[in-house]
Amino acid sequence: VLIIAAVGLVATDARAIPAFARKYGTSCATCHTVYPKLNGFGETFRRNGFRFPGVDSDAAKTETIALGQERDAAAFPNAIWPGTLAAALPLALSVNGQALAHPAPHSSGALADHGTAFSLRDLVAEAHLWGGGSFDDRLTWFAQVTVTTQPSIELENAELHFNDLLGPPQALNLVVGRGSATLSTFGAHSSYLSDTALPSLAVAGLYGATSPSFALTAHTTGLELNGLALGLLTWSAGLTAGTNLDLRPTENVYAHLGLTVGGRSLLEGSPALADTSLTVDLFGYRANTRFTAASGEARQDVALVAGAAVRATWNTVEFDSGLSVEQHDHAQALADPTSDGVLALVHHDELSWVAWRWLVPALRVEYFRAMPQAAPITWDLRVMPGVAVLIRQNLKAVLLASFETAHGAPPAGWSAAGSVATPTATTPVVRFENESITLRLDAAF
Amino acid sequence: MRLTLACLVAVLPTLASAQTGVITGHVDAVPARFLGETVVFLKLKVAPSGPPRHVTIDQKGMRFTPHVTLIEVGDTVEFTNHDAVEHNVFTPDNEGYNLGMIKPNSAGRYTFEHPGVYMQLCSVHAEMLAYVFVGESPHHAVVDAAGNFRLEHVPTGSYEIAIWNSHLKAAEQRVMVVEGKPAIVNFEIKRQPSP
Repeated sequence: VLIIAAVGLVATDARAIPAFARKYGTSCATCHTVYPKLNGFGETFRRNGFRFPGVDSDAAKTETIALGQERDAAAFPNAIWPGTLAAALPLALSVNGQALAHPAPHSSGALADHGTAFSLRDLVAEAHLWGGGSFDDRLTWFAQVTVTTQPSIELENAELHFNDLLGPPQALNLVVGRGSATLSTFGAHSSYLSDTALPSLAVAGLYGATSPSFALTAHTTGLELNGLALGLLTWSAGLTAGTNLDLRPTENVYAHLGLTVGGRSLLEGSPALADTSLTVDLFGYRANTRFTAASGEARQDVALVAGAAVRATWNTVEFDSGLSVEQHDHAQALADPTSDGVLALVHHDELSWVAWRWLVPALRVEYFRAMPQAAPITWDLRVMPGVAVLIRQNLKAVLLASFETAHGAPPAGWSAAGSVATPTATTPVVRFENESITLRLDAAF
Repeated sequence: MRLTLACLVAVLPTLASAQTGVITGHVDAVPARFLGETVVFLKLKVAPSGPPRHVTIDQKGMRFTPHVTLIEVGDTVEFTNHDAVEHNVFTPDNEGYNLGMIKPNSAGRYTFEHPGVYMQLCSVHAEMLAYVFVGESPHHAVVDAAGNFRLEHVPTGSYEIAIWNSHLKAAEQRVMVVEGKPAIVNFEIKRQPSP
């Protein structure tokens, strides 16, 4: 019924969309399918430091204020290096939330919400303030602040992109600031049903960490070099300050390598919805994190992560799959530090089909397996069928059902993995159950 | 005196027929934002047709007006300042000049003795920009906002016609000017690939 209602609201005209759309005077669909999921051209734009291919300013349509003239570059250091300033503030806002239902009154999800059958409490849950633009044709920026009704506020992104430092276009770029690590050829939010393509898991959180701890998808501050070679090979290497409860040396490092065969060159990106290609990504991460354990003590945990991801697209069907293994030496923060290591395995799959430009049915699976030293292995599996619908190009709805099963649970439950299944000592296995049905709404303007 | 008048009468019909024509055309610019910085000119060197001219570029509202000024070698540009703040007038191009600070309601002057394009800048307001195109003939025109141009009173004959733009380029063309029928030349200017 909701889908039919959404279909009735779809119109062909769309306007008034965020910062980059305003800058280039173009619609959301130039870069997105159902946002934030990017199409081929959108991925190229993102990898290119949020610039159009070629001379970026040639594609811009908004007024700019000249901060110097191009000739000043030749006169440097006797002149200030020239740039431009957008005449209008390059900001955009989005608001999102969800209506929630628990059809199974005895499910873990319903019990976690005190038996609530239906709730509109989170219909408006988050607001994002985005900014993005350029200092000139090679130096660009991107920022995002997220505010929730909890309330909380987080500066998720504040990045400077120094693009095309050496060699051919996109070969070598430097990103400075705060953001998420580039661990894939594709954007961090490349999912129709989840906030991030990689599942979000804080392993130390499974064992009671009460302060932020390491997660692959976390936003951190640091430096990243990245680039694209031959239109098919992507790479990145980064150094970040990680997540710590106090000042620590900046020593978290990661690297990524990706290869795409078939389809349009990554230098151009396919603006069409239909493409046929195969991409394989490999990544590694080493993080040294200091967090507050359940005992209240500060503990330190080194995590070594190795992962791989595959994206296969055939016409308008896309299949994404990823697997990562995290080895933590002290994630449990036990009294005996010789036995509080944890090996965690995270797997995800997402199958999607762009049935129409505005309607994308998808199926997502997430699997978490925690294998602590001197404690039983536990695992959780989530299966999420859903459909993402553009009501307008900048207004979307996602109808999502979550089915979950779990065999045992870590001491702090599965919430650090975004799961709600709650096995107990008496019922250590939660069989497949429908935890929730949600209707997410998201407007961007 | 009578002889002179007779001679003039004999010569005037030749001058009146003039044997001149018109060149018109259109310029497509990609990207279009640079269209206003486009000059179409004949590659022709002729002696100045009259005494040197004085033209004005005004500084008002923190802008140089007009954005592109066409003159001939030997002409003088007067840079007036009708803003309430001081401006500077300088160019790094060709022989270069710096007229120093120009106070409100005063002016600086420069006589251009060499052909070429001079980027006109203000050292205290880096956003201010204009161009002075110094031609070797009077046969040049700035394209209008629609991309059109018109060169009038061009002696009949065959010429190379070229285009100058601050960022974009196009190949020169040959044009035949005849009397009574405008010659039409169109250009498409775009960025040239980096070498």
